[in-house]
Amino acid sequence: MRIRFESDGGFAYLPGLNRPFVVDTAELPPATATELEALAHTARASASGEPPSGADQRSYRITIDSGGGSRTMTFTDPVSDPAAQALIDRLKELKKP
Amino acid sequence: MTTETSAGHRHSLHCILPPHMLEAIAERADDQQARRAALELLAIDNTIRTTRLTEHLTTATAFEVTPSLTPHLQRYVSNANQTQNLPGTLVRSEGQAPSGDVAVDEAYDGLGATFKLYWEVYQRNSIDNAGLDLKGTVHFGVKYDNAFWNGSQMVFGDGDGVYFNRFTVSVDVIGHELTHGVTAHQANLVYQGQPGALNESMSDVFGSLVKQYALNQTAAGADWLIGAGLLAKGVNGVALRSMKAPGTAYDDRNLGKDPQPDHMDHYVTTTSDNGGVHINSGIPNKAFYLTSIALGAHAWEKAGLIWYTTLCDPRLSPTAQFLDFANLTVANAGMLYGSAEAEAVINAWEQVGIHVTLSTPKISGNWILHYSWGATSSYSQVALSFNGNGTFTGSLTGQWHQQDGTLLLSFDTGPAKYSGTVDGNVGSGAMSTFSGLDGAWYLSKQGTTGVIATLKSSTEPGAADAAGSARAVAVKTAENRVKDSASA
Repeated sequence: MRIRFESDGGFAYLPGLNRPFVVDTAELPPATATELEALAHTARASASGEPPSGADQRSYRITIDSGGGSRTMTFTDPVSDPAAQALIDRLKELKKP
Repeated sequence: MTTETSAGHRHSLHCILPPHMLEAIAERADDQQARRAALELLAIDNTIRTTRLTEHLTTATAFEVTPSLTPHLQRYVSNANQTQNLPGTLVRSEGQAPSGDVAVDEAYDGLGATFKLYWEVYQRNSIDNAGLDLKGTVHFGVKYDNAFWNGSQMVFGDGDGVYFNRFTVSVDVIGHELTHGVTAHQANLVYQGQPGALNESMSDVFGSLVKQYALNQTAAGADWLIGAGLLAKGVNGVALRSMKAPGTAYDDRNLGKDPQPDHMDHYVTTTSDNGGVHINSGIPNKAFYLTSIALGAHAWEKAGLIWYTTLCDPRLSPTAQFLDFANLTVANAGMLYGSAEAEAVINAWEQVGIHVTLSTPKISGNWILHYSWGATSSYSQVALSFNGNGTFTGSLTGQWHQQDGTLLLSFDTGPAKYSGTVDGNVGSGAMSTFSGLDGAWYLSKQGTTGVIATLKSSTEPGAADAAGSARAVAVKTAENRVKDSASA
């Protein structure tokens, strides 16, 4: 499974944080790969509609390519779905060098 | 807990300027112009206040009507316990002792410091100027590396410990988020492109002023950093942004380099970040910094009041561009203080590449009158004075020259063969001088960095290469004038 992670905006808007990150679970340790794939399957984008009011929220775009097709989800803080939250947190950590 | 002071009286739900400030200007101003402007604004202001009150009364379902004659400070700090559920568990409300949780107590104190600046300096009663409760949530999310305003409350993450410390560590971050609420209640600047960058800049400006006021720093003594202490140890940087030197806050191998421009020449066009709202805010941020330094003393005094007045100015549109905002700051500087301050504001914007195009440049003093006809142009200084009603008048002297068989107006030194007045109206653009004379002319005002304002006739008199007949008429008129001048 190939996962592309992008984030945008935020009070702490720094170019490095918003650099797109791509991870292929085949290249991860098996336990991490299993966890990530499970989260990717479970995560659901929030029922979106109108752009959020307020300011400085960060938004995220996650594209999951599992060979059979790809699925793109977008989120804006606060993220309501716990699996999506965990997926975003996990990807942020994996992105760090 | 309700705090009461006798610092001022509230007459309304929303303010443009606190009435007592306008009254003070009207009473004290020795500048006739500023005094008249303040009096006019007082009159308008009362009308708007009445209108707004009526609006609120007729839309009572949308707004809670709380006429507030005394400041109302009511803080609620909650703990999200590493979830993203808002507001979380209430852990400290107004008047309660410190909780011992550093993030909770920093948020509580930061909300207090922000309220204090807005009330004590600008007589604004909380976010909505009607005593709205101040709500903040800390420990939001897991290692959450951001802070935001969700439209009704502030939210702070703990930071990831790798790049960021907790987001309550710097009081200007708290002031920044709360100011998003203030902006939403005033100009409601659209969060996209230039109005979005202005929205962000408002938050940085007043966020920084919260810190400067709390620490009693002068404009020259302040660090002008947003989020000092926020970057974790090991990151190569001092803060998230620098208002004094945009683009220099950090340069880190993982986080990248601070992308903020400090001049319109480097304005960043992007689809990211709502069109670069956190990037291009560097431009108006720098203009505020330069204004503060130019006006001296404490930034929250003159510069802060000019910016606050502009944020509350009904003429500031939700889709305002940098130039629209800049023009209003100059107008408000002139209205609040006078021509020297207006000129300082113009110069500040000029230095970031925003060329103020004033509809009301009330900058009395020496201007340059430029006159051109055919291939020849001439110019002279003319002392202009502006009247409160938008008209201006100036006196000039010059002489006539014979060149290539054509009579030309010139302002070379020497015995005057012409004297007259230039009259105009800054609102309509109408100007009158040399009536009947052909050619093109305009007025400009020089600042320390070049032309800072221009006045042009809305209908430019005849093109430079006017037809021969028009030229003949002009020459005839000029001859008459020379004659008139000589016989006078």
